[in-house]
Amino acid sequence: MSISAGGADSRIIAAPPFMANAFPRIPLSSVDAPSLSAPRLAAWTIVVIVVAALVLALAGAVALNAGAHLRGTPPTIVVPATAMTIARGQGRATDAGLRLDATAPGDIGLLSAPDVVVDGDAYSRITWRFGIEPSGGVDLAMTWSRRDRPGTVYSAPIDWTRGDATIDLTRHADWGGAVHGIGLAVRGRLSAPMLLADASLRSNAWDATLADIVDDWFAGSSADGTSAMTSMRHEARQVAPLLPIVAAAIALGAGFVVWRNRRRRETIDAGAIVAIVLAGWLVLDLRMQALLWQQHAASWSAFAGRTLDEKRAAERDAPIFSVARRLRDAERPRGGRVLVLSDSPALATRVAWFLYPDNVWVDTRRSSAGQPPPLPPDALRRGDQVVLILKRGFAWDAAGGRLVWPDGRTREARAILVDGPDIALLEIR
Amino acid sequence: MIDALGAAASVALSWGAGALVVRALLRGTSDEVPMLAIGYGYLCGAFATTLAMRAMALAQVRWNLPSLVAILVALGALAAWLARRQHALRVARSRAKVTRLECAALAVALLLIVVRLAGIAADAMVSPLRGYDVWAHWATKARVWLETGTLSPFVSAETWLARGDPSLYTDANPGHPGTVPLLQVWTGLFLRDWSESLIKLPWLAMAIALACAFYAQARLAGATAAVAAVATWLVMSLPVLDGHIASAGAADLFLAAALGMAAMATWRWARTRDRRMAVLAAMAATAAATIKVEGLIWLAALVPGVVTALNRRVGYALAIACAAAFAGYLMVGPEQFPLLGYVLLSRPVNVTGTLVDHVLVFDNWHLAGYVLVALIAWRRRALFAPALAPATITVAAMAGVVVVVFYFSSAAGGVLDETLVNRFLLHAAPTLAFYALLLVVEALAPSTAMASAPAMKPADA
Repeated sequence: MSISAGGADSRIIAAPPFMANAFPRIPLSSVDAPSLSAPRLAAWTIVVIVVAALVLALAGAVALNAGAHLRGTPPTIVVPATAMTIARGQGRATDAGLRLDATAPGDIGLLSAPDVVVDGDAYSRITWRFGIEPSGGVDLAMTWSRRDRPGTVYSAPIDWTRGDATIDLTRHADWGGAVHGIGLAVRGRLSAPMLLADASLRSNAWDATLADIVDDWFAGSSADGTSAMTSMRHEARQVAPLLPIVAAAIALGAGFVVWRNRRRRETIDAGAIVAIVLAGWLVLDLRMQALLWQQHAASWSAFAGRTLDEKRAAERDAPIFSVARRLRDAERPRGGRVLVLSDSPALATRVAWFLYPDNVWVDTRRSSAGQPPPLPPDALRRGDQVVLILKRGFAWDAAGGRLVWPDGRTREARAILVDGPDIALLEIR
Repeated sequence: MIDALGAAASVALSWGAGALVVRALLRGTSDEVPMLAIGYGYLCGAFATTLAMRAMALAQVRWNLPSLVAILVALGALAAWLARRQHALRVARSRAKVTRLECAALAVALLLIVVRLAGIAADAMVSPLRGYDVWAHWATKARVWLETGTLSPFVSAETWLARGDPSLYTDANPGHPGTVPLLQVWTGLFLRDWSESLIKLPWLAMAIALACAFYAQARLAGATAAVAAVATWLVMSLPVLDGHIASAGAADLFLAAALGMAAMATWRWARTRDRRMAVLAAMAATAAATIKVEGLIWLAALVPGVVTALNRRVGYALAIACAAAFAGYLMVGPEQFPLLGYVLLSRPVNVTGTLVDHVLVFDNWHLAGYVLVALIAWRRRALFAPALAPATITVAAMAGVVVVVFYFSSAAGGVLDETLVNRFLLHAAPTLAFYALLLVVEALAPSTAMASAPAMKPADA
């Protein structure tokens, strides 16, 4: 865009005397905008440079992450659940896999395949596949033994939040040689049983590594559509994330252009370098478009044309909504205060959200000495409604019509909804 | 369908009124560009809407659609009348030849932006609210205020318990400002029932407004249509930005857009010295301050740039004084010092690994981290030239804010557990992107005299 320079322009750039000399006063808009110089290289040459640089960068990534073998035979070793036992914790074998109902005292569970023998140098990427995922709030770790170091059990934490649990031990100092026995450790309380379907040990040969790298790029973090991708944090579990590879490819391509120009004693072809950077950006963006459209399609399939309650029931945490819905729809006085108590602040906050616009309270009190003190009985007022959901220590005394605190203090109450020891909605009297 | 039309009407009313106000403000200047009015118009209109709602709440008048619509219509009509009283500047057609390459670049960039936003819109408009902050910190207020029809107070959990007043409410973050929930309420007023999907429409509008404002400011800064469009695509393609549009409900996108618009207008004012652009910058800055508490921290980072625009020597001295004051705090200050909801620490927390992962390894920002570093290295000799100095000082101050918040504050925990790192960087993303564009545009236009003009004052020599 260009704007005619003239009296009007001079007027608008007038400045007070104290700042008049701070900057020269020629508005950029008074001249034609500069044109980005077109690359001197032909388009096809730039495309060839970009593709070649990407191939080189990818080859470098494979070389950095692969083992000694060119081909993995077999590419994957699958350890079925039938080859596993529960070494710690309670559970049993089922047709669908190994089911762990509860961890052992000390909140540790261990699912073990003691007879597996595998060449650790050739198989270093392990995936534990679940029929039913462990509940949130537990940590997972991989354990293994080595034939050359009998009596020692090694472990490594698995970076896991949901889905199958994957760990890459290629660079782990203690993984290698003849691995004899592997296991999956579960740390924490399981609020629901988990089901382990199998474990697979993936070859780190060049062909398998290349396939894994490319597969990772198109495996979105939220492909089920029930949560939006707000971070690419899941790439931490990838063999070689795409961004550094593209960045390396751009550096290679730009470096080649500069080298070529210098060798020919030409000025640097800045247009070609810009084109290479934009091509790299486009590669990343097209990948992102592909991931996003997977998510969009899944969102449409899960939510489109449904009522709000149906949408909430289609979300990943539908069981929480199911409980909250019963609390919300229970026959109870409206307009009063509702206190949601749970050992899990996240669970309490989520349940509370489903109860708004009621006047809901969740314990977000902060204390410099760690946990805030328990809610005192006299903090509750007559007519307050108290939701107890997975809250240890508090109990509903149905016979006495009392809410009982862990230290034995009580308040008279009326049950509005009680479902076992874990869920109760009471009205304080 | 009727609800969808209602939601669209809520956004259109705010947008239309705001665009007319911006147009009236810039009428008769070289900056009266339709895209600028559209871009800044939504921020201005949305902010005006929330001010009207606050005023009604203050007057203890329950919100009602006819009154609020009337206020916005009156605002738009007044702005249109004021604009008519001034003559527009005659705009000459560009004499520059547009090459086929530029046409193709413009078309491809536009297509990529449209495809991206269309997909996100389709997703956001059917899905419920997603993400902890969205339903624990923000929509709680909207849900209650829509029900009560006024700004019912949100207090801390302790106060709520102690007071026992049923008119007091609480949530996981009662201290957040009300601007963003008010926009959800505004859209909610047009709907028959509470809809977690349709109240996300303001986020889509804000994203489009940001794209328009960025494009318009890029053009005013001297970029060709193709360069401006490609730069706009680069910004709108940032995955974290897109994620925040798709998971609409948190305030970070609004803060990023408001802060970006404030910075762009400030830098434009630094060049033209047109006070009306300064008014636009002040409006965007005020909006940013009312969107999230962090807005105040970011606005503080704009101050050294403004001072530099007025007098470079004083600006540099201010920047150095700020750095020295912080260094002094590190040497002799208390171990912990509460500040704007954060706790300042005198000993650093090492978050470099997380920061590098999220900026340079994971595809959160595409190549933005690499490109910004490369551009600054390439243009290092021009960074403090008169045309770029205010922007450079602003960006340096923003980098200082990131260093202080990430390494020397209680927020380091949020960086390490990865809940804060991208969210906080998002606030600065549009501003940094525009700075990167300025570095390119200035390099392409040495003859425009902004960078090479002789200094007129000893301070600028």
